[in-house]
Amino acid sequence: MTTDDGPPDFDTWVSHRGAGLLRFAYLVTRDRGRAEEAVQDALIAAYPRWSRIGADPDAYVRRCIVNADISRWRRFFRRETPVDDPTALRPLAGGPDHAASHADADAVWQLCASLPTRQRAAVVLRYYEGLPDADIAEILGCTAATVRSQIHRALGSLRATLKEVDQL
Amino acid sequence: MNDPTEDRATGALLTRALSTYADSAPTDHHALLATVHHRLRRRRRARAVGAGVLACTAVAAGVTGVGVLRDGPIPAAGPSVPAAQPASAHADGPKFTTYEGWHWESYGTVQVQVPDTWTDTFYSHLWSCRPLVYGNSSEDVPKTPQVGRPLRGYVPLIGCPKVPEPAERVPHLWFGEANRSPGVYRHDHGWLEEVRVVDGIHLSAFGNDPVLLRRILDSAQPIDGQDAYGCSPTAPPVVGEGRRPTGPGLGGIGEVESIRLCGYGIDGLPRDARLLAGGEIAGDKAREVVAALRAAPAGSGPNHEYHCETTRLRDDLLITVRGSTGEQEVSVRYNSCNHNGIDDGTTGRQLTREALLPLVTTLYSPQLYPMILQRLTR
Repeated sequence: MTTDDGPPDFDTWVSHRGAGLLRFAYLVTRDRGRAEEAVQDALIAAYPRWSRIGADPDAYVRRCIVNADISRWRRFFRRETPVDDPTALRPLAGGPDHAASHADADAVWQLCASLPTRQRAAVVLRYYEGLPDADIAEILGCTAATVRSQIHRALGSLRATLKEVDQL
Repeated sequence: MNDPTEDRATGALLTRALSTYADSAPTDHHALLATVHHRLRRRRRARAVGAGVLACTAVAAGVTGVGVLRDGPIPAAGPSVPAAQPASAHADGPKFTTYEGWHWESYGTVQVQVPDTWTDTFYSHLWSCRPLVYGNSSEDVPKTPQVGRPLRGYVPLIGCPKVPEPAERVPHLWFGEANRSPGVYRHDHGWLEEVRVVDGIHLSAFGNDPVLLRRILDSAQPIDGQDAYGCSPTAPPVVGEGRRPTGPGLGGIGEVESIRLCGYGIDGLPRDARLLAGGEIAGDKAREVVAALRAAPAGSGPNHEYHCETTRLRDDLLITVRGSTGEQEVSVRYNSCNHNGIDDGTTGRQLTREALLPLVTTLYSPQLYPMILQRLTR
């Protein structure tokens, strides 16, 4: 798919990476429709620059997805999507049964929704995509130190809320 | 643990939760590609080339720039508009006065003049929104005056200011900005927008030079039969009815002198095709283009079968090659689902990069090259 002297064929690349991009966008936007729209917008934005993006367009397109979500929705809401009342969340410290696992996932999902887009994107890129800080920094257009700071704050928020829920 | 980033339990929990919810993500990545193609195709629009070529066939006429300024809601301003030098018109058909350093832009049934420094772009009603910020400043939206045809596709409504911040403003002329009612809209820092409707087409001129805006809008006129490039606002039979061109073919018109380009957009039935823009290529470049057209291998395509499932949108070029012994129409289809190719009425040919690229770069902004160019290796 990737050529030595240029970017991969657009259609082929999208065919290979489309599903992954949709998953990433869904985790960042938390909405199926917005995820599809963000990926479409990112690809449409990337297309005219395709020849200049390089052999690996992944970082570029994912940056577009994050920026699209920020630029389109932050203006609208001014604040990020509010999280549900933490007292409504089920305790996270549960046994290995599926019900508990789903409760954990639900809780974390809702807590992630309370994070600013960049923090959430950093969390998704590290803990879902498994990317190193340097790659996350490239996607988010910041330094690796900033990435660590973003994740530090995000996990701090998550742990504080989880602890609060745990104590209820 | 003091550093939450090293909290493996929380990290593992996050990974599990995110993996669980990623399963709920949209999964139809096949539809994704088709939708992206669909939306890209809808962004096609054309622009007229500059007046430099037309100046070669200039016919002097007697209208002055002062004469186009009328009384109205926009006050006269500084002498930013150069004195008009009626310069050119198309050699055939109706004659049009073209101001020196200006050129005609056509859209639908209307044509209007703008300075040559005004370059092609597209727009949506989101034009006032801050553009996406990319890491490379060279990819920012150019800070030059723009002429835009509307996007022909879905754009979600979002909250945006009426106009961009002063530092981000550039003058523009939008065709088809139907969300604005006719009138003058004054903004801060001396910027204003005037909207007129000419032959049913909204024209929206935005800038901080009232005289320039007035002159642009005063030049607007319905296209009567042909625009300044010789393009018909209604679909010619080759486009609207799918007829093959008639004539001797590209091999029977002698030495090539010029090429007239007419770009049409089709959203439904071909007979309802809309003129998007006209343009012209002359001299050596025209001869190179025709050589490439003649060199294209016989046949048709490449075609995209999946486009047939998603859209009836099509963009056609009807070019007219003028030679020393006659003219020849040539149909160039590059955005149809299964009828792409070049046809001069005698030979059907496959699209090639050498033939298509100079045509679309004359009519389209570099940011919006047609997708099919990626499939053309030569």
